[in-house]
Amino acid sequence: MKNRVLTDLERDRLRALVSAHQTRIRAFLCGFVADPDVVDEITQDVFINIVPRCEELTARTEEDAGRYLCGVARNLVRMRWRKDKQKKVRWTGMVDYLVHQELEERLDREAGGNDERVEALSLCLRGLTERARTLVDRHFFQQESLVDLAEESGRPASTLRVTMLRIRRQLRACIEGRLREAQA
Amino acid sequence: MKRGATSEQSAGTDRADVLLAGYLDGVLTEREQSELHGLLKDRPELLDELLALRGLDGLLRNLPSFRGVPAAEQTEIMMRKLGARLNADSGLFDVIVERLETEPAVRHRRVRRPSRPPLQFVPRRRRWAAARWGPALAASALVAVGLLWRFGPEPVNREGLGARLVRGSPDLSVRRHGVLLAGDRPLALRLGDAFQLAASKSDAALVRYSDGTELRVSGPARLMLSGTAGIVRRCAGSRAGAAVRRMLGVGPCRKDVAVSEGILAVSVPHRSPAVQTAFTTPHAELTVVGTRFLLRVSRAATRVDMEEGRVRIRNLHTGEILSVDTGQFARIAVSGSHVASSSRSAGRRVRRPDLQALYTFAEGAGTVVRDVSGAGAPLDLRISNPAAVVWQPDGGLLVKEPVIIASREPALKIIESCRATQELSVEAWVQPLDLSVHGPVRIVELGDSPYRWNFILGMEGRLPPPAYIFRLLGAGDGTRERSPASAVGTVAPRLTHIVCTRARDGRLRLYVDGKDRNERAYVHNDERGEAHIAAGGVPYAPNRSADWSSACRLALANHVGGDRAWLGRYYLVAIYSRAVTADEVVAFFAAGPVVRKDAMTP
Repeated sequence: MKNRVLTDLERDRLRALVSAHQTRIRAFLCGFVADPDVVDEITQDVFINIVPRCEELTARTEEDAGRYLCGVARNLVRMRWRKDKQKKVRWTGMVDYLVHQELEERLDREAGGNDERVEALSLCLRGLTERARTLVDRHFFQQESLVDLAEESGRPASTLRVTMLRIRRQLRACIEGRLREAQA
Repeated sequence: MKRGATSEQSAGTDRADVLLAGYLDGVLTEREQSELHGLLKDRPELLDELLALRGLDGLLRNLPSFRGVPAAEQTEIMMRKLGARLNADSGLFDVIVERLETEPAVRHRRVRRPSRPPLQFVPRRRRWAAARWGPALAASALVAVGLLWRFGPEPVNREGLGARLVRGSPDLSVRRHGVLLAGDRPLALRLGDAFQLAASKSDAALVRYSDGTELRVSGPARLMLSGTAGIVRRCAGSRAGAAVRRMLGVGPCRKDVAVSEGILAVSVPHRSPAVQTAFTTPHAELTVVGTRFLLRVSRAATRVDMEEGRVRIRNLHTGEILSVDTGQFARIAVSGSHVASSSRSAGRRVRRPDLQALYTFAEGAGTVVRDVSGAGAPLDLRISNPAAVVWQPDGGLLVKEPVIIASREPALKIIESCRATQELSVEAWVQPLDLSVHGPVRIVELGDSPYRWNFILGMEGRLPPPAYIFRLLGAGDGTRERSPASAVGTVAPRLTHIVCTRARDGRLRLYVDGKDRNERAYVHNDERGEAHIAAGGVPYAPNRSADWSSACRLALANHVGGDRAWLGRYYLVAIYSRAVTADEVVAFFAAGPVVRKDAMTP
């Protein structure tokens, strides 16, 4: 079993592809996979899989190559779900099951992520109020639970959850607005 | 009518919001899931929104620029440099190249099989050589594969953890790769499995590693299991295994448990030091070789009660290193750590005769501190302002603002039994918070007005530095007995054991952390002509507790009139109708603040 040793040229091509497309692939995967570690793993697998085709992909347009890479990511997600089914991973709740069924249907329809969504998100984060930004920062980036944050602020956790839902909605509306503007 | 419909629709929307928010945070009960499921079936737009918000959560958690960036820098990055960093490589390329160069190539390349070669004549000698060396080579290859299989490195998440959830409960959920698995039945555990036990339930789950390590989890609890894959198969008790692993350069096997909250009864068998067991909490990192102990983790602190063996603890906030042995406990918090000679098991051996009242502050909630002494009618204490106190998750009661915690009726059972014996002892496990006291603030008091009390155990700060004091009402002429004040440096914001005793001969003693502080002479010059205490604690005048007032109530943290507030944490208060001996005080100190029921001998 030999390991794959990359030539300098292959390294440069792979580096260029990773740099150009990793955000798009992550953005695509985030719609279907909740666990950040799994997103990481599949992103790595995508690039490992396309190493033999680096030359061909760098010759394509960026949009075309991105679409191809998202196709690879789609297949990897599908394979992972298939393995989960073989291992008989149980869904704890009927909502999880419903969400998974819907995601399976949407996986084929999804054209592929784009960097614009991530860029829009970053701009929309800036547009949040100071309080909302702090909440997002502490919950998502510093990984503090809403129960802890609620305890600290002296508010019920359910209230904070609904507040966070409103922030999510605000971000979603902002992102979609920016994407519409960009398309127009 | 129209208005009613609108409000009904609004209420429905609010409910949907609550359910959506709960689902995204992963806290819905089964019934709520069922309710949300019905709503999603009826309202496809709600399902669209749920998927969009779930994707948004994923994006927020996966922004490449934040993966691996220290939390402290993330906010700044988010606010100022977000746009510039979004396209940063974030190390992904290096990881991919490392995987390409270390994982078997067969994963990445489809090798076209060559067509089968035509049959060739093999000379006799060559066939003999093949027959001779072939089995030897095959055997060597098998041994090498076996060694690698047993002791070799293994990528994370490719194999089970070597542990099983032997017993769970319906309140337990196990999260694996973002998928929730039911925790009410046996389950083979894997690296990265996260446990969440919602209910306050004792011994709700049992996790057993194949090397015999057991974790008994009481809720509410949150923990995650990680470490070296295949712990047992590769490492269980094998010195040869450790040697081979060293030779292969793959380091010792580890079992890691990250505990955010909850109570764990841990039993780690004494095995080869090749298997390291480590626990991480928000406050501390514990390294264990073989031992039994109880780990309690709350937001405020981590507490370790050792039953057997030794644990090395590092305070993650202060960097202190502690070593906790059998019969000791340690409490680790952001502000600092301390070790005391006590343990839960030691508490079982201590007998407490002539106990009149005992408060262990184990209620965890409510406005009543229960007398659990079992002697006579319980003398329960009421908390006048519940907002001024906080029940501690690891046991104990924090008094953060002035409050009166007092009995409603006179403490007759204490007064009468002490009148009969002419003796008294007061024991307390406390942690003072505010050392800048002025008057004699009350830790424990039997009184009914500022100048009418039978005894006081308190803190005096008029003559700095602050000291613990013990005073009694003396003879019928109003004289008062005063114990020597505690020595300099005994009052500190740490868990402290105080015992004060009054013997029939009038001798008063005050012990701090098991040590008799009476050797220090104390002469009180009181303009009111109250009794003086000379060196050795002998009062000038004979005193009789027979003169005690029958109207006095028992109070903690303040005078019953409310102007002598003490702030701090209570872990135990006990009152005896007897002067306990110095040996007993040492035993009480060793027993720690946790008192077993079988130790309460009235």
